[in-house]
Amino acid sequence: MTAVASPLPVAAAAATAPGRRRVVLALARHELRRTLRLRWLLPALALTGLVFEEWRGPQQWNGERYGYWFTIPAVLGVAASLLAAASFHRERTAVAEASPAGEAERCLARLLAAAPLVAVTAAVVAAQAAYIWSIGGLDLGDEPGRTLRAYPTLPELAQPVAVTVLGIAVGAAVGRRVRHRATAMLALVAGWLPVTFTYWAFQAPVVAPFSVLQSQPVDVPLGNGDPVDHPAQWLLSAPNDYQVGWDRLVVSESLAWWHDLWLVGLAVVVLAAAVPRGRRQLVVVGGTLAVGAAVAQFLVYP
Amino acid sequence: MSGLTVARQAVAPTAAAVPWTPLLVVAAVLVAGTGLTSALSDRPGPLAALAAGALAAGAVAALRDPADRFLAALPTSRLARRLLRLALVSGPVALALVAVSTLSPGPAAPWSSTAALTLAGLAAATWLPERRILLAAGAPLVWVCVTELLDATAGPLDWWHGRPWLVAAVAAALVVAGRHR
Repeated sequence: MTAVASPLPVAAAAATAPGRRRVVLALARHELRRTLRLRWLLPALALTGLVFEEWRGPQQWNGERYGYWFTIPAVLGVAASLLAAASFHRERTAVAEASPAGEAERCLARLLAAAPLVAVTAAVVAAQAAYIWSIGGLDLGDEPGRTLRAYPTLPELAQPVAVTVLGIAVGAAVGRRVRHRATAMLALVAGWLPVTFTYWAFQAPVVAPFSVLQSQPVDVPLGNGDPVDHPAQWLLSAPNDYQVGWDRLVVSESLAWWHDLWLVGLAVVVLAAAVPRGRRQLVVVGGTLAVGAAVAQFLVYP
Repeated sequence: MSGLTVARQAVAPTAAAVPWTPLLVVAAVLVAGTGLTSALSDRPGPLAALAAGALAAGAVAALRDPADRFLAALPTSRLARRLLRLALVSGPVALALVAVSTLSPGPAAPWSSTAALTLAGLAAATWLPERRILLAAGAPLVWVCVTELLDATAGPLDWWHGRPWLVAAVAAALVVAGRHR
């Protein structure tokens, strides 16, 4: 009798707003413990540390470190994507309709449990920024337009955090909608490979606004003039295997902010596939945000 | 009844039981991703090498067999059943490798590396519990990704690429050593 009677007070308590909040928080704590028990986060952090060490090594060209620093915390974005997929895939297991927490509460709890992963990425980005500040900045540009004191701007630093948010949304959608766990995980990794390992392929002016990892500075071709004719404060890039003439290197904060917003908008749209209710609202809000941010990027593109 | 006859008779039911979805989805995503990347840039990249790891992972994921315990009583060993599965999935893996190599502007996807990584995944699957097949499938993919992330072009981390036959030999020895597990 006790086994039948005991869930009823819980169900009654969950029907009230404070009770619902308690249930969601309790589920989130439980989900977070399960997420951490998967032990994927620690290897991802260790790998991030190793990649950071590799990044600190000698450069092959001026500005190399500035060119791909953001890919290091992006490793955590991919890990967050996999962890969210594992969590949301559990939602595919049927739960009794009389359960005190419905799918909406469970979904909210899973998202809350994923939030610390965003904080972990933010902490890694902060540590990397602190390192860059501690060494007095990074090398960027070629003589005569060169600096040894280049610092990533705030919106650039925010990009890996936004990528982690997108990673969680994509992981949640794939985990919730794909039947087999193996398919979900492998498809996620295969999907992340081109946008992370070959992020440079998505930096052309017409594609960069829609990219996942957007690199700065932006190269603005200057033609075949003498580089010393340009203003002294301009950062320049000398001709190389991938560019014919001199380029001006422009770090655009406004472009980076709008790109961050594009990532968040995209995350909201993708998240619609993982939630049980309010899908249309998410698509409308996220879609408006994403489209607006993409258009704004075209407008401010150097 | 000879082993070959048994294998021939087992082809149809095994093909029906193989979880094709992980491999086919991975292959489709890889081909689409490589096609998109090469359409946007002709700069050589690591996608072909990464595809070797991802396809090896897809092949190992095809070893997942919910009926494994029930089939343990049969005279056909688990290793024989798994090798038959790998032989069946080798067709789609080869097709996907050719497609990725054709589309990618960089070096072609290495066949020997894919074989070595698949064998390494099979070795992991042999020694891990049956329910950990996803972990075994992830092993070759993680190996390749870590190598590329750390830009390791020498040393044991790069052996799947630099010395694939050594990796294949060690993996095969591990598979044979664990054949009665």
